[in-house]
Amino acid sequence: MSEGGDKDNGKRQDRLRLVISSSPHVRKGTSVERIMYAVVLCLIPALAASVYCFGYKVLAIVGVSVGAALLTEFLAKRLRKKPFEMDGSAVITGLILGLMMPPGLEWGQLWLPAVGAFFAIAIVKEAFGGLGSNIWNPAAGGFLFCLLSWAAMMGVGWIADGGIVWEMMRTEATPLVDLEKGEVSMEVVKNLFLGNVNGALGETSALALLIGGLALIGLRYIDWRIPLSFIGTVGVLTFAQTGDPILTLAYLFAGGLFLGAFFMLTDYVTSPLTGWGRVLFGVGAGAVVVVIRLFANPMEGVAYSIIFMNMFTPLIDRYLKTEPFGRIKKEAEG
Amino acid sequence: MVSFGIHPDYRKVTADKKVESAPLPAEVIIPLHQHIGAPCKPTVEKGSEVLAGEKIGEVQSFVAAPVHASISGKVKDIRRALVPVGYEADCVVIEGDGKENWVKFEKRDSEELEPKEIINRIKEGGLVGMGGAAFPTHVKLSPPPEKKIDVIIANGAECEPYLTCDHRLMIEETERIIKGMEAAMRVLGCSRGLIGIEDNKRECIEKMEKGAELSSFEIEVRELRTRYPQGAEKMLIHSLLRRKVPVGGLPMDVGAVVQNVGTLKAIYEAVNLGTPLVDRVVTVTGGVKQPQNLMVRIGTRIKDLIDFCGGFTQEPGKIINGGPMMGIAQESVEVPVIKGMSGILVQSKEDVGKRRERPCIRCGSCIESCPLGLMPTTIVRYAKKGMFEDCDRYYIANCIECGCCSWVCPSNIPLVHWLKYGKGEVLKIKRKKLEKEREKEKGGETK
Ligand code: SF4
Ligand code: SF4
Repeated sequence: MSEGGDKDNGKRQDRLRLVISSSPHVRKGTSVERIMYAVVLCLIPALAASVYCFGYKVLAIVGVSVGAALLTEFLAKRLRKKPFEMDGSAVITGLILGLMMPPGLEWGQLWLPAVGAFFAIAIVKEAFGGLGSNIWNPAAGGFLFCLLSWAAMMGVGWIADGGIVWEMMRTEATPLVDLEKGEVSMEVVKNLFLGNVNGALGETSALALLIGGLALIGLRYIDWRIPLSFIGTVGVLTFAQTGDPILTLAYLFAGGLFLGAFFMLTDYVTSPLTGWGRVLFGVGAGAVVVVIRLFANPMEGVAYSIIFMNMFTPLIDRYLKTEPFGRIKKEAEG
Repeated sequence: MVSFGIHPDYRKVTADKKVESAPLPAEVIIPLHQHIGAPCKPTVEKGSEVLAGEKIGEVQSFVAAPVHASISGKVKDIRRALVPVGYEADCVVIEGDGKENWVKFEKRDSEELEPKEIINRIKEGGLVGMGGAAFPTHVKLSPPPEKKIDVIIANGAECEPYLTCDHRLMIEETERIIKGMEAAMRVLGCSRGLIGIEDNKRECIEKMEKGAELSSFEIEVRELRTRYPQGAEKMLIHSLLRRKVPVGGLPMDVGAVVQNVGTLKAIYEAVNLGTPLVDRVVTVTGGVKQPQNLMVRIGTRIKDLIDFCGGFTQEPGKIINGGPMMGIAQESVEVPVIKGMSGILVQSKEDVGKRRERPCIRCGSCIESCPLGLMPTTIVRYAKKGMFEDCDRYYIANCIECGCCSWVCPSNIPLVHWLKYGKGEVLKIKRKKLEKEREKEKGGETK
């Protein structure tokens, strides 16, 4: 390099094109995509368990749901003149919604998950401003929309062909309905945990959901506080009410509790920001689930609890803030 | 165990490279404002002959530090020039005579000196915090009498990635650091000294422990967990003493004074040898052919240093004064080295990359990472909307701009940029309020 251009005034004479931006100049390297697709991956065990139980039709149902979610997002972004990104959030919504569908859905009824996904993305998410601005969990919203509009299709018709386990279990009603009658054996609990029962697609195997959920916690992509406080609250309250440990376990492993705990309540956008806020959020949702299961139809309790608690998120964020470093000290002195 | 902050990629490639002297620069550009506080007034004119070590800028207030010629030669110009903190300042440009003509320094033994004299020699030496903040050292060592200082802390954490100048100093200048620490302890009349070093610097810990043993003062080396920003004053004090500097307060509010190890070495030199702060170690690293630690005269252009290190490995994308977490991006390589510059980091075009900003997904990572317990996403949301009262309510003033929040953010939101902006605005509003109140008081009196 020559020393030629020295008669500067400290101004740029060099031909370097340097970027000026605020510190820090390095990043961790996470991205929205990475987190979202990790969640997708962690849902694969549940999806696999569902296919094992109910056969390949599951893939069609989930596929329609995911496809509809993506298409809706694409169109919504077009309409709002915003760039469409494959950030993975619509895939998650579609996937979860698909897993909340009943296994007995017939080929001719595949429009149901599509309509649900459309509602979830277009109304619950994009109408509120898209990723980051929505108040309610899109999948939970889409599910409840389907449930309230087409209760018959969502609730009954638990008949499917294919999956091995399904063949064995086809004569049973869904376990939560059994639980209502209070006749539970350890056998039922084990089945609930492993997935040898019927229920909505992804709700069947608590074990598969647990694997994915723990993986997300291990990767530090979700906060353990939410599932722990949620499941814990449901467990404690159920036990307090029934006094039966086996029945309590059965309640925990059924009705999509784990799906909600690990994959829906933990949705960043619709849950509180701080640690204690998240604990309160989980406890609140747990209490709502128990109340609904006691007095109303059990199966959609989790979805209702999520939608209900989502509304409190802004309020929780307003009051449960973090403790700024050095604050107590000052107030004690002053 | 307190957990805070982050674990960035450290990349301290120059940790084992001995400090080498950079060649004497042919010309230096010495800013008259290299510290926090009011700028200095030049004491030389265009055409003056100066000796190395001669004072060329005198302070105009207590919170300021004089500046000295770092080479001997002739004052070529006094003009405004870009300095590496992002603005223009008055600078004295000296054309070197290629000789090492120094002023005579008066050597003294710090043990014979009164605290007042020690302070004076530190002040005359133009010392400022060399870790980057550049706060005048004599001011830090002159707390108001009601603040009792019981411990002085030597900051050897060097938690910024890439930088290794303190690392080398602790190994190569152990004795001077300890001696400087002793002088500072005498000034403050405190009996306890702690040296905090992160546990990824084994060699430094051993060296400094040996050095501390030889001292007649009660000086102790403490290992710190390697974690960013362990070297931030508030974090360091908490890690070592379990004391929390109150919101809006200073270390002296909890009886502590923190000095960077480089500053302590400079204290020894100013007090015992009488030499002013005219050179310092700078880690030149990243995308240069031979990254190294260089002993550099203040005022040397960073371009000269980059050339001395073999030039760029590839077209640079960013050149940073300091480390990657808190350093300041430069728009030119013509800027001079200043007292507070600990490193020059060259990033390639790829390192800089394109990071598109996304909407906040409320993941809460920024909150979890913030060592000060702040809620960056919430504060920034208010700052973007211009709601500065709300920023204040969320303790924006407590932010130390460490960068952890931006570092973790998956949506690439430049949180620190907004935090800096919000802090500035909050300060302005507060100042205005104060002024108004004062005016009101005055108005009341005259009525
Ligand atoms: S808010 Fe300030 S102190 Fe907290 S992590 Fe961000 S830059 Fe650091
Ligand atoms: S880290 Fe980024 S995306 Fe996450 S809450 Fe903070 S600002 Fe939002």
